[in-house]
Amino acid sequence: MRLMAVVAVIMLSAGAVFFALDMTALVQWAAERQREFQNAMAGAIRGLRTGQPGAWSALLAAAVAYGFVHAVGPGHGKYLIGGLGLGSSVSTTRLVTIALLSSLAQALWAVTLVYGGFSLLSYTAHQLTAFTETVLAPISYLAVALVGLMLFWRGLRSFLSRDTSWRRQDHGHCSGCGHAHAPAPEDVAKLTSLSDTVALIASVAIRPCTGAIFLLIIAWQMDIKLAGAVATIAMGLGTAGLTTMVAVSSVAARGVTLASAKGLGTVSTALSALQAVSGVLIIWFSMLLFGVAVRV
Amino acid sequence: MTFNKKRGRRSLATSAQSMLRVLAGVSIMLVGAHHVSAHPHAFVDGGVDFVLTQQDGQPVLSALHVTWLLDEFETLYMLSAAEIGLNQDGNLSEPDRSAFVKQMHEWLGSFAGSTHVSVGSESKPLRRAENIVVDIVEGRLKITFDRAFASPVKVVGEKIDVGFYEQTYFYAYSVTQSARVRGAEAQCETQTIPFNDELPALQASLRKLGREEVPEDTDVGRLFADWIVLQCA
Repeated sequence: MRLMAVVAVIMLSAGAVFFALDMTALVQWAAERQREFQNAMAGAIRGLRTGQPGAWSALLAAAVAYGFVHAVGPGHGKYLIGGLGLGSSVSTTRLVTIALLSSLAQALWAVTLVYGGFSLLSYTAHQLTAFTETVLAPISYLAVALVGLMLFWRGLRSFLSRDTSWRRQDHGHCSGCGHAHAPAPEDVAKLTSLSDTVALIASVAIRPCTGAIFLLIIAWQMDIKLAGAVATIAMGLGTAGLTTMVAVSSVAARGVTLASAKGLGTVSTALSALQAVSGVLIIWFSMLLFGVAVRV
Repeated sequence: MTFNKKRGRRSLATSAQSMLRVLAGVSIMLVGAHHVSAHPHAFVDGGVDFVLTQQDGQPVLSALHVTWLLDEFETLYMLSAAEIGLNQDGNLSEPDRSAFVKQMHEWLGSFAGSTHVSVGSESKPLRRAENIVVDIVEGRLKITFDRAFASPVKVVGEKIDVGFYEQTYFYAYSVTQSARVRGAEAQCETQTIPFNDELPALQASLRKLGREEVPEDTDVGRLFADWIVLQCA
């Protein structure tokens, strides 16, 4: 019964919040700042071409700021990191590291893709942007959805396992029978293996940021390749700034939930349920983005 | 194991409140995913002029004269993508200008457009862009062109609405110039209605946008659009 109550609370809360929040103002604000910062990048690029002093630092500062505000918009990395923070037992340090490495890998992949595409494959700018949007984006969304599926499966498995142990305990049939009935919170989706970490980073990094692709195309054509590459990495750091905030917030939020669940003696249950729900949300958002991407 | 029902209900309520706070936070983090398509990458200022001609002694709307002023970053991207650079004066050389206009002809042919015209509930289709002119104005690419109507539109006694937007909202368009009426004599007035997210009807649409409808909505740009209205007596 308590299991049903926990699941119901999570699902109802998710529904209530989802239908109550209106983020239009925030998105509008982010779009306006993005416009300012991309204009600042353009000014700095022109300054670099004409040898203006301070153009390098202006470009890097604008790129960091652009990366941050651009990340406020839709992005697969953000909700993956948020979902993981909420629905796994990954530590703050580890999740922040994953967020940072994902953003940096995304930036480095953008540099490789654009500069490699121009120099080795003789791609045009239009081919590069089309490849990013029509091939890499759907692959990335599917990869993120697979991570969500993994979270859901692990959460469901531990949730069902916990249910069994309760029934046994409630009937007094199983004291000291010598095996673990349910995973402890620390056993649920630690995501500590190298393969888990690489999969998470790769699922985010596969799809480079459109703004980074644009910046690199401009840098290549204007023959400021080094500045373009460094600014793209700076942009990745800006993106990491926001995803890091998401990482810290989501792990803190999980802590609050589990602290409350302790009073009910349902820590394992709450974590398992959160993990499964987070997995479903990640799958859902990924597939929404996938649907949009394949329709382009 | 015994279960204290009163304590359990209190704990459950506390747990529910905490989870609500958690999910609120998560939803805020996931804001972008709410607005799957609401994510402009380029910003374009401009507007339209109305071109009237005479048909059977009556003024009719025969074309729109469209002006785009791209943001500085998009300007550099479009020129770079076209493999065109600016000269020492920060402008286009004549050969580059001609080459870019040629590319724009092709690109605009496949572009769904930034102007969406309707009279009442009936949309009025436009032909592809003609008379394309490009220039650089203070580091920004200015593009003007004409789009003729597939069939001239009666204007006397009608209210003609022009939505200045791009459907996917990849490009965020804003009306920044007053609409003018050119050509045939007519007593017409134009009005610009800027995007206002405080309008109740629009709020309702945006709430819908922020929920499950967005990914299915291929016309999301309309919800953020500025509008231009033409009315002739």
